[in-house]
Amino acid sequence: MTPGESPPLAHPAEGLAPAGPRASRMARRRGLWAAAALAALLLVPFWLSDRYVMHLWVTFYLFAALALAWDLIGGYAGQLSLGHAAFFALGAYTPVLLLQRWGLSPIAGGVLGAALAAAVAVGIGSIVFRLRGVFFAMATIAFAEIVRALLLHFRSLTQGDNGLAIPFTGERPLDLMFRSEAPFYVIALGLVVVTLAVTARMRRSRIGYYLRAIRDDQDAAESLGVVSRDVKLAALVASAALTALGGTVYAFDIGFINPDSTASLGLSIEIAIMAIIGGVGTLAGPIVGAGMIVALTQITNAALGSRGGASTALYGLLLMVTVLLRPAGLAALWSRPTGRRGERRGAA
Amino acid sequence: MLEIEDLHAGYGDLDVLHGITLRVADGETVALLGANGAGKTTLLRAISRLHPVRAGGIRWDGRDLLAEPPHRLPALGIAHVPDGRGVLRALTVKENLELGAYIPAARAHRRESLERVLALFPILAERRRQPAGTLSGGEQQMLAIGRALMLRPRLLILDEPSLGLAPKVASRIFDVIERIRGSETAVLLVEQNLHRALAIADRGYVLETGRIALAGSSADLLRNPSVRTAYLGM
Amino acid sequence: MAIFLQAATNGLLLGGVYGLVSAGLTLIFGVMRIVNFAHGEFLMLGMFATYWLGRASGLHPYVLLVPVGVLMFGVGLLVQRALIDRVLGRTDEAQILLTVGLSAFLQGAALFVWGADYRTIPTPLASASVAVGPVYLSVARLVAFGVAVVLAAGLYVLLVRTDLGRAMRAAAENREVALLLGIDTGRIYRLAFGIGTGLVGVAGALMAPVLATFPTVGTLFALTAFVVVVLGGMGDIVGAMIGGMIIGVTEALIATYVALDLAPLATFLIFLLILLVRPQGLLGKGRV
Repeated sequence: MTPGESPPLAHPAEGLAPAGPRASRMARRRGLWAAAALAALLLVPFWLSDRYVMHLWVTFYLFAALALAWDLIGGYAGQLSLGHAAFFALGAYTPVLLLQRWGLSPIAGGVLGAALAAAVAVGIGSIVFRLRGVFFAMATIAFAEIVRALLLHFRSLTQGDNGLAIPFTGERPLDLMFRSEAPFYVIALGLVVVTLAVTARMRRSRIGYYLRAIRDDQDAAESLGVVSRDVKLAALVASAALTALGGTVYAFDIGFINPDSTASLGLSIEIAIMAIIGGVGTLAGPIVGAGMIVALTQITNAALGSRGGASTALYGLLLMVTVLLRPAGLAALWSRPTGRRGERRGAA
Repeated sequence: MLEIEDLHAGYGDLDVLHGITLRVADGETVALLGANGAGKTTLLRAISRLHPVRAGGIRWDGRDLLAEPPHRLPALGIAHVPDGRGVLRALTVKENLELGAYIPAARAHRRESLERVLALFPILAERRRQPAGTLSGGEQQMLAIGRALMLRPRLLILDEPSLGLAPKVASRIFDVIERIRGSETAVLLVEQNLHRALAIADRGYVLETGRIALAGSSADLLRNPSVRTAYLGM
Repeated sequence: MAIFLQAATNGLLLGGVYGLVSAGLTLIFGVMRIVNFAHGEFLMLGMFATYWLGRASGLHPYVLLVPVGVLMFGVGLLVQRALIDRVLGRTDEAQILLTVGLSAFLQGAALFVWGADYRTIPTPLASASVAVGPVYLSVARLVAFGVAVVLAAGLYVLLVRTDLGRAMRAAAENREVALLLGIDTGRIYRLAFGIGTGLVGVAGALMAPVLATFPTVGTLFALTAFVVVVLGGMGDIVGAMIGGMIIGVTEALIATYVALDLAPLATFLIFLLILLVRPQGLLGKGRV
C-alpha cells in the first residue's frame, strides 16, 4: 500500500515482540543472518579498489538510509512528505558552515545539524499535522521550497547558487577528510544500520503500535486516547534527524553542496519514490527501492548516455506503475502477510 | 413495469438482501415497508444500479436493468429521490430543477415541466434563485421530488421522503405523492410511517432482514396483525 | 511611484496567466477532487508544442493558441482515461503519488528528448512594449493577460450558464446524485481534466514569447498555481483568477522592493499562512 492505505495486519500482535520459543528462535536466526550480511559487507572495501564502484555503494547506502528515514513518517505514520530534502540540506549545510567558519569538527557539526533538523521538525510538525491529504503534501513542498529559497538568498553565508566546496587539505579523519572512499563506505553503511535499528526498534515500541492505529483510523485511535499529533511528531523528529545525518555524510563525501543538489523538490520526490517502490512500512522495502533506483540510474546512464532525464523519467514511470499495479511495492513480492505466526500464505 | 426476481445483494461476503422478488406495474403506487436495517435502501440502490447485485435479476419494461450503468436510468424513465434527498446544495433551486431534465429527451419539455413543478410547489418558485442548501428540510424534500418530476418519469422511486420532517410538512409531502398517484407514473415508496404509506399506496411489501415477509394490497396489509410484528421486528 | 506602478502592473499581467493556470487546476480539483501535480508539466508541454509547431509551420505563437489548446485538451483526455481514472476511488496519497510520478516522467522525458537548453521563440513581440501613462506594458504580457482573462471568463460562463457546466458542478458536489440525474460522470471527469489541461497548455503557449522554454519551466508555475488555488478556494474559478493576480502583484512588489529571490519565498509563506488560518481560501465560499 502507498502511504495512507493500511497494510493487512494479519495478526493483531504483528510487529510487537512475539513471544514463544519458536518465534525467538526465528528472531535469533534472522539476527545471525543480519550479522553475517553485515560482516560480509564490511569486508567489501578490503578487496574492492575501484573508487567509482565504491562510490556507487556509498550512494546506495546513503539512499537506503534516506528512504528508511523517510519511511518513518511516510510509511509508518502514513504522512506523505514531499519536503524531506529540507532536512537533508540542513544536515549538509550546518556542519560545512560550522567547519568553515568556526573550525568545528564535522562530527560535532553533523550532530548539531541533526539536532537543528529535529528542532525544525518540531516546529513544522505542529503546523502541518493539522492538515490532511493533499494539503499536507503541499505544505511539505512549500516548506522545503522555503528552505531552498533561504539558502539561495543568504549568499553571504551560503554562497547561494554557487554552493560551498570543501577542499581536500590532507587526510584528517576527525574532519571527515579522507583520501579514499573506503571510510565513507563504512560511515554510510553505519548510517544504514543505525536507521534500520531505529526503525526496527520503533516498530516494536508503543509508538509503532500507535502509528499503526493512527494509520488504520486516526479518528478511532484518537477516541481511544492516542494523541496522534505527538506520535506523528516523534516519527517526524526521528526521520528528520536521520535524514540530516544523511546530508552530512553526503556533504563530506562529495565535497561540494549547493541548494539544488541538497534542497530540491526532485530530491524529496526521489527519496519518497524509493521507499514507495520498494514498499513502505517494511524494513527491506526502502533498501530494495534505493538499490533499484541506484541500479537503474547507472543502467540508463550507461545505455542512454548521461543526457539526463532518462533516469528521472524511469522512476516516475516506476512510481506510476507501483501506484497502479503494486501499491505495496516490491517488498510485497516476497514478504506476504503472515497468517498464523510464522506461516506464509502462498503467492497472491 | 419493474420486475425484481430473486435478488441477492450485500456488502462483501455479507448479504443484505436474500432473494427479493417484487413487482411494480405501470401506474401503480407500491409501498416498501420495514424496520431500519431491513434492507430497503439497499434494494432501492440496487435498482438504481448504485449498489452491486450478487445474484438475481431486475427487469424494467422487459429490459435487463443490470446491463445498464446508473446514469442510463433517467433515459429509461426512472427517477430516484435518494434518502437524504440528494439536493445539490451549492446550486440554486432553479438549477437543481433544471438538472432534473438534464437528459436530452427531457430537455425538449424542460420549460413546460419547470412551470408545472413550480405550480405544484409554489414555495420553490419563491426561492428559485436561492442556493438549495439554504432551504428547510421540507422545502428540500419538495425540491428533490420536484426535480424528479421534471423528468416526467414512468417510475418514481422515493426513499423515505418524510424522514426528519415535522408532521405537518410530511403531510404536505404525502399529499403531493398522492397527487402523483393519479397519473401514469408508477411510484415505489419506501417509508417508515406504515399508515401514511399504505394510505396512499395500492400495494405493499414488508421487508424483514432482507426478505419479503408479507405482501398484499394496502387494505389487506392494514388489516393484517402480523404486519406490525414483522415491521417492528418483534 | 512609477516604479511601484510598473512593478504592480507587470505583476498583475503575469498574475492573469497564473490565474489561467490555476483555473485549470482548480477546475480539476473542484470536479474530481484530484490535485494534478503534473499540471506544470502540461504547461511545459504546451510551451514545447508551441515551439515545435512554430518552427515547423512558421506560424506565430498566437495563431498556434488554438491548435495547442486542442492538442493539450486531447492529452488531458488521454491522461485521464489511462491514468487518473484508475485512482479516482483511492486515497489522496495514491492520487498524489500517481501525478507526482507523472510529473517526474514528463519532466525526465522532456529533458531526455529535448535537452536542457533554453529555447526562445523569436517574435517581434518579445521585446515590443506600449506606453500607458507612466508604465510600459510588454505587448506579449498584455496579450497573455487578455487571453487568460477571456478564457477564464469563458470557463466561468460554461460552468454557470450551460447544461454541461451545471452537470459538472453537480458531479463535483455529489457523484451519486449526478448519476441519478442521468449525468455520465465518467465523461464529465474526462472533460474536466481535458479542459483543465487544455487551459494550462494555452497558458504555456501564451508564455512562449515571454519566457524561455525548457523542461523544468513548469515546476515554478505549478507550485505557484497550488498557492493560488488554495488562496482562491479549491474549485473556485473566479477565486483562481483573483488569487493569481494577488500573487502576481505580491511577487512583483517583493521582487522590486525587498529582494528578487525572496519573491517565491513570500509566496510560500503566504501559502502556509492560508493553509493554517483559512484553508478554504480567502475568497472561496464554496462557489464554483
